Amino acid sequence: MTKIVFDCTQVSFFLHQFIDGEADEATCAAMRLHLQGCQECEQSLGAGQSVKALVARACGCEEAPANLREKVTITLASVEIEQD
Amino acid sequence: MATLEIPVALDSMESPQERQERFERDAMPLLDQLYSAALRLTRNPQDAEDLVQDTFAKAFASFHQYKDGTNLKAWMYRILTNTFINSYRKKQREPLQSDAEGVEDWQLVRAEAHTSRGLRSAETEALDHLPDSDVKKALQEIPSDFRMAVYFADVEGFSYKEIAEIMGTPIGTVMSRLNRGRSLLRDLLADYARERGLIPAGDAS
Repeated sequence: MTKIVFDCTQVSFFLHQFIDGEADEATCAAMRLHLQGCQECEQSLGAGQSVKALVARACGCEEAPANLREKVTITLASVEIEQD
Repeated sequence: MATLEIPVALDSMESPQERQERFERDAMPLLDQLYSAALRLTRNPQDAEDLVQDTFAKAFASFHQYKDGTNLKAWMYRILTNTFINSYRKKQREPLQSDAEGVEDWQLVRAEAHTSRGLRSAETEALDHLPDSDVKKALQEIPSDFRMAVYFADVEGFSYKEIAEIMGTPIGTVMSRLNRGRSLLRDLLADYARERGLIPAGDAS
């Protein structure tokens, strides 16, 4: 089987699919092959992975205010249920 | 929103009481998660609370459209996203969102001007030392379409297909929003790191 060879533009195009585990195996193989020999793309990958990890670390896990659950429950009591 | 079909028999068999119990059992545990997302989207605690309440009210009203055993979290997020776009975003008047196409083009130019190169390894490492507050601030500064895509992928770990369903867009749009969103974030975070002296000023702008 012939190996697919990516240039930097193609790597840039598929970078986030690769980071997110959404690229297929052939694309991943072509990405890895290019990344081994290209420092600039390797650094783009590192920066992308780092941004993703930072957002995951910092941006979730806000605790809702203590009384929000109660407010929601009260709201639900007056909700009109759709029939269709 | 697409209507999810539910067998008529099941629908009619469920009493209002059972339905409420099912909702409280399955949907209410998502409250904290949805509040986190609402806070990132609306950027202020009061609107976030209101958005969460509206989301739960709408979800409860149309809970018969939710098919038991399918992805409830994604279903709830779709309601939250629609509600945010249709009410809150308009109210908040995000200037950059008012002309969606124009914004995308403008952002594209800006994003691409910056994506010509990444950050050096040492610069990337410096980002890890930024406080969480800087990361939240950066996420709040990017346009909300990009912010949602990034949040759904990175915090919630939704697949591109799920994000496309939640946002009501093709997968290609999800990919371009993630791409541009993360590029903008990377540049903002690098700016913050420079301001904090984590990256020497003047280096790699």
